[in-house]
Amino acid sequence: MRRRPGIGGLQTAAAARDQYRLLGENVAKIRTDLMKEQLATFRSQLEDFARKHKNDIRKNPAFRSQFHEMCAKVGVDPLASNKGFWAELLGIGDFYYEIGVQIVEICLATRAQNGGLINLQELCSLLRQKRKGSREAVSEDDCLRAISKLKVLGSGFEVISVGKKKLVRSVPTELNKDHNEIIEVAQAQGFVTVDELERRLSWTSGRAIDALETLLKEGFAMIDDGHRDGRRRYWFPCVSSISSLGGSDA
Amino acid sequence: MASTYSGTTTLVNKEPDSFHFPSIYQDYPPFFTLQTTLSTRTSQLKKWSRLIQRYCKFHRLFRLVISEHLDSPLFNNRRLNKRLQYADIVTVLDWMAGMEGGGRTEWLTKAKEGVFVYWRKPEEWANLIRTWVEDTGQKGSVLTLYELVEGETTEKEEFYGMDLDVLKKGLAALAKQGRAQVFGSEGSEGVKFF
Repeated sequence: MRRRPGIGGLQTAAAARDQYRLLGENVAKIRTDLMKEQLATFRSQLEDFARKHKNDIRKNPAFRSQFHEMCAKVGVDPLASNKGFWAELLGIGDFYYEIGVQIVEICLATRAQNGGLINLQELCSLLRQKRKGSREAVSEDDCLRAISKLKVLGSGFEVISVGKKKLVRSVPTELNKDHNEIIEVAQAQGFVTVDELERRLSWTSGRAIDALETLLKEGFAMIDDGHRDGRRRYWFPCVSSISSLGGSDA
Repeated sequence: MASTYSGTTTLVNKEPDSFHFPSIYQDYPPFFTLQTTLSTRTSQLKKWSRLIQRYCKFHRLFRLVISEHLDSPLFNNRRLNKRLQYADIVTVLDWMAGMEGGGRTEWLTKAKEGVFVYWRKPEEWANLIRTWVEDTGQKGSVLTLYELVEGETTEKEEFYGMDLDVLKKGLAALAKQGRAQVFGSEGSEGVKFF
């Protein structure tokens, strides 16, 4: 009886396989259901949380930033769409939309002054000036979020890090490595000279002049002549926090 | 008028008054070198134009002779040790006189040594006076330019003490539109508004 030949044996084996498959499906289903349930619970709790802290999220930038972080960790993007639960509950989409529009306005108004490159701090303080009287405080984090949403429009908005500073670029001009290095050197005093670049970066004067000329042509720099040493200084409004003057004076 | 400028920012040039210079003038040396990049230069010229107009309005200057202002705080920032050079001042004033500058200056002579500065344009001045004449029920009567600008009745008006040449330009413009008529000879002109 050791061998179990014949049709009967095969049928038994097939039945066993079916049984196993059924069991496996059941287990998987139970797991999925559990997951779904957990997700639903989680979502409703996140919603409860948001509902409960609605005012904090709206008014307190630090709280808002942490809320965003929490959402990001669990893969929820409250800014993904302007419709739906999050937008309706928090009006948060409108908030960033509004900031985004204001950021575009500021960048345009100061472009003649800074060539379309402005440091984030400066942008924020201009934004706050513009929003004076509005209830919600705006943080740099909010600015960055609004800008990241602007990027979707393909309008060439980008945040770049140069040295210690974050700069917001609102023109399509790409900065190469040399340009970045120059702007980084300029952060110390607000300006650079050809000499200084040769010394600090071990460049040839040709390389320095080439890069500076490009930056000038793009409107990112301003020349300053008439110094005793006879050396032309190249100033960068984007690191000097001087662009705020451009807005109202233009 | 003065209250408009009483900012809290520290002033560069200690004048008896307190004209408030914009921060780009106070803190940004390249403002004093004319820029070579067109867009940057245009933005700079606009700012100089605004500054010159505001400065002249504050001090009620109707004319600006360059040589007299080379060392004035307007063009010479002692704290930064920066100044706008003579040739660059000419460029700025020339730009202001042109289309782009909106006709905010007019050269006194072809030699380009000085300008009328129009922080109010001549027509605006003439219209100010016309409004005052109407408001005081003197429409249709002849008034001398002297009494309009130096008379006791206009002491509190903005046009009191204004430059007569600027006024005459304005009145001439109104006359062309048929809204005023200027009589008399040089030095004793009168005007009638319709």
